[in-house]
Amino acid sequence: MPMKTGTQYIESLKKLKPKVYCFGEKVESVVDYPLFKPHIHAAAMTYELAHKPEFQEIMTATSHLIGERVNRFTHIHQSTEDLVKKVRMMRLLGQRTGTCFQRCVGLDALNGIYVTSYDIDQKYGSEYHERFKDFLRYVQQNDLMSAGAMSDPKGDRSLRPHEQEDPDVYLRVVERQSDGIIVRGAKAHITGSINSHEIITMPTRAMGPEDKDYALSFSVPVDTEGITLIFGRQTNDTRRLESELDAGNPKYGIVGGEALIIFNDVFVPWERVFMCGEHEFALELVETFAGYHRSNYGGCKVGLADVVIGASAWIAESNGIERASNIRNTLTEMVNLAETCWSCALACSYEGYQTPSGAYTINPLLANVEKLNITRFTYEWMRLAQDIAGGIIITLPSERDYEHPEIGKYIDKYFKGKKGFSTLDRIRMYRLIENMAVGAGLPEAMQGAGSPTAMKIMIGRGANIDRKKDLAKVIAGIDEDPYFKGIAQVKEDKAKAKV
Amino acid sequence: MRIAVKYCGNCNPEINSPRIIGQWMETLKDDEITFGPEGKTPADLLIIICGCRKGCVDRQEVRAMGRQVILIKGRWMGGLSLAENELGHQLIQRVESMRGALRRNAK
Repeated sequence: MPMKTGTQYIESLKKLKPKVYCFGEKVESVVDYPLFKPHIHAAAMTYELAHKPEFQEIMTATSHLIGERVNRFTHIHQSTEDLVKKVRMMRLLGQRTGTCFQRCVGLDALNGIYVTSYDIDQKYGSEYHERFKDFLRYVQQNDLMSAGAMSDPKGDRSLRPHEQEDPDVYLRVVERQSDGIIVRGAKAHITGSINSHEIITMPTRAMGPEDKDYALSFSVPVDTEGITLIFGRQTNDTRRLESELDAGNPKYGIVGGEALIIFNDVFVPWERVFMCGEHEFALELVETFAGYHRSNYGGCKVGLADVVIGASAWIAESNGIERASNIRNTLTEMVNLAETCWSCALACSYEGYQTPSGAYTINPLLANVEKLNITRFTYEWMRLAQDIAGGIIITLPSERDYEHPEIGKYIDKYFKGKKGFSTLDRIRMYRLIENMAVGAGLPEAMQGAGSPTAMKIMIGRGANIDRKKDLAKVIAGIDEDPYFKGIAQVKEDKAKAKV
Repeated sequence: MRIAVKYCGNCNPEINSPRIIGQWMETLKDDEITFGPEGKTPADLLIIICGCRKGCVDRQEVRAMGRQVILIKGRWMGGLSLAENELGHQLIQRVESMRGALRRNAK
């Protein structure tokens, strides 16, 4: 069975030697570096839960390529039911990790490239799709984690890629050879990249003919020569190096763990190139990938909401105020917000459709509505969690003070709540809320999978305002109402506005 | 030729399906047109026209109601994404092309 366990995933990372920097030093072993461990644990859960019978229906699927049961994170969606199971998987993992488990970006890259490479081949008679299917078989058979790398650094945002003063601020081809291409540039903010096996790149925006060297998609192992990863900081990240209690979510961390990936004249063999110069398909790939990715957020972030709602309710109980009407109202509002986003996630999946490649994709309008709601509602339910928890989440003394032989007893005494709740457990829960509601997870919900503006553009494009105007003109009596004639039994020429 | 037309139900369409079908019907002369997959024998040609790409009426039992099928899903037709005002013209062309093929087969 081609599915790794969590432990096997972590062991497989040890065989890779990526060039990673963090805090100004080169990381010798990604797996053993303390700052990275929670991120690796969160990603490992995507492997581990696939082996649990209670999650198998959601976490696994049967591959249409290799005919075997595979981890759903490597699966190409074959039906709307697959799309629904995908968002169910996201919610499940959000609940079980309380953070970003990183692997969905690669899943969405696999599906986005599957769809687009097929369309490129239909136009040009190229071989990208077959190459990609070979790569996909390899990914499925080895249960690989792929980092989906889309965002270029972008430089001056008012200029197109080929107009930039520094041509490397968008990843590009610098040389085409008989056996492959040489690429140079960077991808920024790439989730899970230090602990992935492969990096799959995609263009980040629409491209014109002059940008053809930037219309590029390929995959390379993370430790390919010429690749350097610089890990990004997060709020309170070094707490996990100091103590367990203060980290809030010591097992799984906070957000996904992002890195700047530098491609310094990296060789990519042709069999790993899935787009190279077909600039008119850059936007299709961006939108297809982004649609899949935005549809995930009503799953994973709602899973996180489940955790933070539970934490808020527990804190209220430990304070003895769980029956207060304002607390119950606040918790109800948090659930309402979260389930609204979940409804969007289900809706865009059930309303998905088959693409010419055979793969299914989500309803793009609904997926963008979903993600736009996430950019707002996540802040709101986290604000409400702060409201219930109180200011203590930013004033609590440290674990070292709590364990101090002289002053620890005061913390234990004065931060005690209702009988039956230990101070230690209360501190754990407050720290969890601090981790989730105050930290880097908030801007991640805002900017991950694209900014709110990107969603509004897509919503505007799919809104079909002209049809809405037509509907209004009929109801207002400006245009003929073809169906009203039947029920009102009026002559055709009178069916317009006169009732 | 017996031609059946099946609409999806048009809950929230991207296209004006009745207008497209109406445009095509103006070009017909002697064909027998039915709406909805009714009758015991499949039509010579079934046009499934869905208001959006979801294509929710494109189901096996519906397809069985036509010997040949033309599927329109929103602006998608025959694997191509078209402007709405091109769909009627494309439909006319495809039906005529299939009519020609049927005649050749009959001979």
